[in-house]
Amino acid sequence: MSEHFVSARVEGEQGVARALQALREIGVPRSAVEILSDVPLPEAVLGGAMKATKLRRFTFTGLVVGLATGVFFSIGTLFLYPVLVGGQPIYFAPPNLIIIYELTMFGIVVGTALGFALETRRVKGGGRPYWGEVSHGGIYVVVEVPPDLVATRIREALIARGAESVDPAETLP
Amino acid sequence: MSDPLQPPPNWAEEPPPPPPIPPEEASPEEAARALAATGVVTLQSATEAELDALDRRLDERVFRSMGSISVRYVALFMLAGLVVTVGLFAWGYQVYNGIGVAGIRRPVFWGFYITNFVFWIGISHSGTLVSAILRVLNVEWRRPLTRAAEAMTVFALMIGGLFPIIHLGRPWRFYWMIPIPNERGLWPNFRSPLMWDLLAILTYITASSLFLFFPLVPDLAAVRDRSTGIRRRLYRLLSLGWRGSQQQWNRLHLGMRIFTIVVIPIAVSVHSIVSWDFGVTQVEGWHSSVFAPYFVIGAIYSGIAALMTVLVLVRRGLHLEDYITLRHLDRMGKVLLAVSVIWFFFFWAGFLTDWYGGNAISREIQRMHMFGSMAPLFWTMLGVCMVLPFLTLWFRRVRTSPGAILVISLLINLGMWIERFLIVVTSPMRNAVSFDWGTYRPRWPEIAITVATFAAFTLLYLLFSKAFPLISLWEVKEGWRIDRWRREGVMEVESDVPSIEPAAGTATGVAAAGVAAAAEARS
Repeated sequence: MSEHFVSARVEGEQGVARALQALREIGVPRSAVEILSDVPLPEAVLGGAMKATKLRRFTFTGLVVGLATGVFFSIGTLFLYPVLVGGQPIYFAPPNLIIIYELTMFGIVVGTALGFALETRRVKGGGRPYWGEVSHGGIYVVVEVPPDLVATRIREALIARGAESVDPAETLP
Repeated sequence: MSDPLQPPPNWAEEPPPPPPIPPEEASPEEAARALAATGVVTLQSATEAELDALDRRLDERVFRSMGSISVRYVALFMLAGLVVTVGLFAWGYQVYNGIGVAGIRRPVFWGFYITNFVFWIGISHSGTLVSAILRVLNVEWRRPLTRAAEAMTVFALMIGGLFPIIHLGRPWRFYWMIPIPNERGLWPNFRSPLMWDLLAILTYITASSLFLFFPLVPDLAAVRDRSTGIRRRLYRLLSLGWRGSQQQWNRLHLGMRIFTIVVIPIAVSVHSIVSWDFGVTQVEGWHSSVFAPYFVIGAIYSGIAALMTVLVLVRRGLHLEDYITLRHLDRMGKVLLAVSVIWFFFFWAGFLTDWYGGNAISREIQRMHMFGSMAPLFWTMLGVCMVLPFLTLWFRRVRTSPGAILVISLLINLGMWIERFLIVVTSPMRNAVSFDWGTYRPRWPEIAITVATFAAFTLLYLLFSKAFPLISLWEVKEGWRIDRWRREGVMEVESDVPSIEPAAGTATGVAAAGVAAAAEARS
């Protein structure tokens, strides 16, 4: 694992900023760097480089599926299996709008949750470096070594900016 | 700093005495030393090391509360378990003998069960809705409270959702409500308010559970890292492979923003739909267009009161006084007072309109409420829901007294249960055919099941408090740092990719604002 990753522990968000600056100076792309911490860090420290998430797509898909399901249940089934009640019309909008509204919301909720669960589990899943110390307040910088750089150079650059090398890495418990 | 493990004073019970003002010519370091000499650690003066010490103290308190089981806990658990067992026996008795063992008779077909249904759905509004509103408004003091509130919603919905099934009498026929092809060749009638209820509650309990679960994931990872054996495997499964990477944090913030926006209209729709169970009928006393907002505000009212009850008990029982502070009770007390006034406004709007309309049945129902057999309940309801909060919650001394808040919030919920009972039960007692007037007397299975649901709520909360952190650890820690980031700004790193616009209210957004402010100051 240490062939592919270089890991270091830093102190506070200022330590993160210094480490990122050092990595930038030696040509490590921001996308190759992960910061692990027990609280979210300010985006300015992270170089504004959080990768976009596909969560919104899941939410939108949930909305469309929920809306379609609502329309089918509230309107479609009335015509497929008409229930005649005291001369009332088969279809009338107000009560059906409630069904469509609730199922659309249900779709949004389920879609967003599925997206969150799938992306959280999927993103660079097992085998990625992790330290139990993260949940005790430790902040770790994990660098995926680019093909044009050697691990030693990255490690030296980080140590020069006050980081503490922690190779070899642990993995998720 | 004399003791970095002491929480900062704005989380403490009482504000500290004002420190001596450092001379204007002093450097920041000298000013910090001057403050430190007073023994005060402020968030403004706390260093990263001191914040780390606060983090460790918070972790230690919360994890200790999860790990220790006191004699009182066991006693309460067993008592609640016993009452729940009695309730389950009563339900079994009713299922075996039929719904006739309950007290519902012509003309009152909705009794304790539907009263409890409305009440518990109302209680469920305490958590998710209140938490979502506080999140939308970016209220910083919400942070230690949201977890306890959101858990309440889920448990209250689980209990509330049971009552229509209990009320069915034949609970095994419940699946007729589920829109699946079945042997009858029929789909449920989606025009029926009962279907609205089913879908609204299903949507709300799903959204509320996930609203509770999403921000729980980082804390589950923290528990995972402190556990061994089967507990570790369980928490590893629940924490979804959480590593604390900034991409995961980013996704969590986005997910919470989406949920916060979606869950508010869902919550409002749920109690509106519950009110329309009554409002769309032709029964006098129920057929009212004001019912939806009246029910929603009543739900928020009873929910906040229930939340305050739980907060007082949790802070005492789990020794979390440093985090759920008197200031939180003070602020929640103000919210409760404001909501009580709004609730009374809607009550009065409905009451006055009915009274002035002069409809004979409406007047008879109001007479029964004010001077008839329901008068003791009616005046108790008004006394504890309107007069009591108005006379007490104006005073800070009351709002910051846990004992007083406990008594007031319990009485308010008693009053709100009575209000639901008066709405559900008394309107069907009086109708246009006077020989069909009747009354309602609950039987023992209804009473046993009603009491058991309160015990079940207690039981669920007791179990939750030992399995999950009742305070959102990462949110509290983030809150401690936001103030410093906002004031000082942070060391900015140049981006090599287009930046994503940080959201207002998140740590990143606040810090970015701090950076901008710091840059402006420098220029």
